[in-house]
Amino acid sequence: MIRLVRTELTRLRWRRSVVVLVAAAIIVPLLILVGTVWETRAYSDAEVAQSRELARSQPGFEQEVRRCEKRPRRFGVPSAEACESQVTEWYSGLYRRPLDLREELRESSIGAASVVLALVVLAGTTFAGADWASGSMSNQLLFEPRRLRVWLAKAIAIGLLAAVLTSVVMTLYWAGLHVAAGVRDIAVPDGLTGEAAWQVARCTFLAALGAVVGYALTMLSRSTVFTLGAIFAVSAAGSLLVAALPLGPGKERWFPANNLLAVMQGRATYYREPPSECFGPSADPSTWDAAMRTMCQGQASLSVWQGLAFVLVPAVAVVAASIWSFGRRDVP
Amino acid sequence: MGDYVIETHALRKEFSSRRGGRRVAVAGLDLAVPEGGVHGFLGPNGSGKTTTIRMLLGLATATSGTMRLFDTEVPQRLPSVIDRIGAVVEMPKFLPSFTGRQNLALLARTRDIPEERIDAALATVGLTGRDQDRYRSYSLGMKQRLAIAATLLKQPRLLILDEPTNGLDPSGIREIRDTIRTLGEEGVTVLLSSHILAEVQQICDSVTIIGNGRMLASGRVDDLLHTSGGHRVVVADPTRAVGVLEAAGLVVSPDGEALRVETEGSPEDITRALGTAGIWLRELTPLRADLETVFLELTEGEALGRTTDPATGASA
Repeated sequence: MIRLVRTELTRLRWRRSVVVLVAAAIIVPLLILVGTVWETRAYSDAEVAQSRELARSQPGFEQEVRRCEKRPRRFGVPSAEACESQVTEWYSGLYRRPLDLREELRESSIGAASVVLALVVLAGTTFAGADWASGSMSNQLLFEPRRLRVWLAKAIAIGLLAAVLTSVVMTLYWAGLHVAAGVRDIAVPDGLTGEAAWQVARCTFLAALGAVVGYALTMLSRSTVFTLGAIFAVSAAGSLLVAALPLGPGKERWFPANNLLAVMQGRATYYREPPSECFGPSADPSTWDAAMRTMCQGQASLSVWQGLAFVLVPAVAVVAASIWSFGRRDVP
Repeated sequence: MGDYVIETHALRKEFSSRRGGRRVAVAGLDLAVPEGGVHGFLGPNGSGKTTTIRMLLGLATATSGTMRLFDTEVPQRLPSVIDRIGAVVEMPKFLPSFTGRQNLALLARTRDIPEERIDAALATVGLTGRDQDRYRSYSLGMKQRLAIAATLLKQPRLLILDEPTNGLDPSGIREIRDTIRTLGEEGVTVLLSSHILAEVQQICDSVTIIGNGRMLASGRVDDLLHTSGGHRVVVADPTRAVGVLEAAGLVVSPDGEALRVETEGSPEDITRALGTAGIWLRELTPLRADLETVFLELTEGEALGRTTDPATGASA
């Protein structure tokens, strides 16, 4: 079995499309990292001075300051003395946010992980698709006729590749963010490194699972195009289909994107239409507990375990169907 | 049992047709290929040759019947004999973006076959200088050669070749034919499925002919050709000879200046009848049908069950 897995790893290494996808899975997150670091850089004194000068020279600036001085609270400042600074801030366009590692847990790192996830799913799909398209699967079975072994060896190889790639890329991503924070003297929040590591682990698992599911689906359909179409249909039309089903309130819980996000982020919050108890003359917010308050705010959340269950059930079904099909169907 | 490398009994394969019915590709085939030598496997397009080969190799599932390779039940125990079997099924199938060597290396690694054997296989099929080229750049003939090289990696005791000379130029055909013949002489059993009947007649020691998924004839090539023959007879007075031979119960037809006399084998009936009538033979030549004639007769007439034991040549 180890020999077979090594052979499949070699096959993966020699596949140009896989190499291109792996390169993209490294380069795109790197670009996201560079973009994040660049977009959160501090303003230089010269930039601040120039922007403020520009702001003050804009028509309407003085009028805006005077309006603020009349009603400072409307402008979000405690007193008229703070008005010039506040309006200058608005007019200067100095909106760049500083690097906040906790925010990156929910923002850029999820973007980077999503890119890697999509690319490894593609790698799994094209890996199996090439064998079917070329007809070389039958050649392979003439050297190893135990089909379950062949299926498993390929699955392990693509799963390993996805896991190693995702863990390395995401670890480097977080290392890069930590370095940027260190250079800017931004303190790393307590527990953030652990949370990031846990996120890397979850994304690694999800990527390995995604790659194996992409592979399994292609082994089942024997067509890369079909698999890509199916994945596109689920990702694009899945939520629309769920929305159209009569599942009652909270159907957003079944949106694929929300569940994937729950796994990657550790928890996902989504909009849920508040129940009628939240409205009307009898509604008394002072009597609501925390759960009721959250519900009436139109928010609900999905835990990582709920997300995992949502992802794992169809994944296991696809894998089981794929193994069964590969073991029984004639090979062209 | 034991004398045969390949045996099938009542082998049947049905496919579901798109119109909802069942299409029978192989209908109770009994195949017996003796050990050693080259065995031809003939049949018209769609007669079930490739399906039979694919079932033997575990690529397709039989609907019913049994199969044995090296006296081992397959596909149940195919893994235990697969190291002794090399096969090319239909067209060569490799990953087009890989080089010829890479394609072979991946197959070799599956069975822990040493790299040196790749070199040897490539040399045998004459691809040594082109092994670093991508498979997609190969001509059809080169692809066929690579497929044969892949079968040689395992140093097989049984070689199953499905149309191995497809797409080859005449010199390529000759090389592959020589390779097959040499392998057969070295003790490798070769099952050769081919449409080129002259090729089969030249290379094969025995042959099985199938049609519509059923066996039509099987046996040694010499025996199959012999059973279809007659004799060419040249005498001074053919007109009188026709009367004499027909009176002796023989079927006679004119063949130019000579006569064609159908016999069941021995020419004794001819010489006795003519000699008794005082007609002396100038020429008596056995007419041996070629394999093409036998094949066309069988596949057009579907003469089921005419078999001879491939190992002994005896009629069954």
